[in-house]
Amino acid sequence: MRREAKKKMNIEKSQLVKGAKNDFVFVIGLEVHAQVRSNSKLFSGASTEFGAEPNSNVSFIDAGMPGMLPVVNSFCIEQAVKTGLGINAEINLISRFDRKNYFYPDLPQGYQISQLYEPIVGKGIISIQTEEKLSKKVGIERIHLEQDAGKSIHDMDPTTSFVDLNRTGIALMEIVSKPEINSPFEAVEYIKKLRLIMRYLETCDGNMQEGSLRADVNVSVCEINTYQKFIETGDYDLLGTRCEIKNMNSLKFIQQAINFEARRQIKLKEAGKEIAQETRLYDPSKNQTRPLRSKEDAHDYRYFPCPDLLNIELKRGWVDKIRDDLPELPDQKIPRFINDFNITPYDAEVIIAEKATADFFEAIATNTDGKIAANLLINELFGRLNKDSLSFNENPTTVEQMRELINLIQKDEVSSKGAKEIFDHIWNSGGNPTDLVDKLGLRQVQDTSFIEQMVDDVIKENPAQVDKVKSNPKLIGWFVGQVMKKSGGKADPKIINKIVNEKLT
Amino acid sequence: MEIDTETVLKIARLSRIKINEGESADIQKDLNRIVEFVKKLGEIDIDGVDEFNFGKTNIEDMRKDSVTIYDNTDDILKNTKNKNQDFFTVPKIVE
Repeated sequence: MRREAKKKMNIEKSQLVKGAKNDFVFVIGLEVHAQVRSNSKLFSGASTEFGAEPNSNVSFIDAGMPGMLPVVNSFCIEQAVKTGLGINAEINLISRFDRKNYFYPDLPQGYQISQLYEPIVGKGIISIQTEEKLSKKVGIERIHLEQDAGKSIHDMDPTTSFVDLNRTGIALMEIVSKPEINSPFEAVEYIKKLRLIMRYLETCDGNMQEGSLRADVNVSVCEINTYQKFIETGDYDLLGTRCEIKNMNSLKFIQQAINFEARRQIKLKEAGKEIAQETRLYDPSKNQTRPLRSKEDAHDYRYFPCPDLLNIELKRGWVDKIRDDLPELPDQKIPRFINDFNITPYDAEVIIAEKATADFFEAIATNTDGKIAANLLINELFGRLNKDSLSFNENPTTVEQMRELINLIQKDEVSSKGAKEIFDHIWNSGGNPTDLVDKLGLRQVQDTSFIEQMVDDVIKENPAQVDKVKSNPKLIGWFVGQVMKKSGGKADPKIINKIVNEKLT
Repeated sequence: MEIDTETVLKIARLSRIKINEGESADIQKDLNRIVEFVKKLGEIDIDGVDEFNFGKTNIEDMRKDSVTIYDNTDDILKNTKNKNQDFFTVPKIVE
């Protein structure tokens, strides 16, 4: 139980679930299991490669052979520390591994090496946005390191489950939030933000399909008055009984599961029934959660310090060096991009969604024009990648090409339509934008006297329309269009506009 | 701490070890003898000794993140009869 003065918080609409009589507040805490990006496992030299032949990356340590001793992978420690620093968390200079004992076919050791008592990372913070677009901080309780289990496959045989130990012993970071997430939307935002930070740090690839990011979701519901009291006192005991939905690896299903689970609990509460604290599974085909077969004593893990491993001692200077070397993270990059490149917050958020795209943007926008760069990147390049189902690292265009194209647009040498054509050409067959302007006949005519001549011609050819302009100023646009047509689409629309306006108004 | 019959049965259940009633009494006796023996450690004076004071390891002493190719799938599966292709097989786990 924690008692801390908390600042007054308004409950937002998205944080409420309707009951038959009263409204309830969602109370959600997440335990995210993030596979550490490393070449070898936490305690063995076996490869962490995904999708290898079954049982081909298994050392005798991973297989739980008697007499084998685990040896800590220093890089996994570094990755956990880096992740902790990325969420502004306390780093514990002394930490320790414990054994969590349970029996399961995918756990050959009979215990998981984890960190219950002295985790490597302590309290931290992640900032997210609520559905109402307000910023909010979610507290992190801790991050600890542990071994992943093997993989059980249930659909290869009617009577047996298949076990592959390749995943056994890969390092996981379990990132435990405080129960400060208050809607299914926030739960998804939280995971996305955490994933983004870890991708920037290159500590976890965040690939949910491959299972490198999974979450256990703790859900309870709380009446508004009680929740207000919780906000005032910080007394977690007020929050009511929670249920844990295990092993979710899809953002969509996490949202659905929380929605179902909250409504199930409200029904029980309103019927005056007790909510049992239990572990449940979400079944997406039925969109409901159901209890795991009640396993008596399942939670008696008989934790104790792992006698095979020494305590981990980190030096302050080593931690500080990692902190100094952290890359710029999204929370700093977004305001800087908005400020330095004069782009909208929305564009900034789209651009920083991957570190590679943020770096690319910065390279093309520095000393050119941020708005044009953002436009080109989001509308043309991302649009094209999307259409062809390519990832950003398959982008065929180069920084030089994009900078040149931006320069041409900046100097009004091509229209935005012309720029699109040049982009398409670069995309399909490469080339140098400056050469392409003329090769494709896209150079915008900026010769004022030439444009003026065309404007005069159009005016001369359309006396009836000229008469109408005075009563209907909207016709100006029609004249601009006619001149544009006469120029074969090549005249600079800004200059046409200016001259037409001068002559007709 | 005296280990009673109930504790013996509980530990057996948690470890998935089948023991019958006849065995449990002997096991209980053995476990209590072991506990009694280990109790000897309680006689050591550890007042003021920080549990973190010894047995520390730091980054430089740990393993580097390099991969060892084991090429040992057959060895890994050698001790079981329950296998299919290169997988271990176990009675169907239904959740």
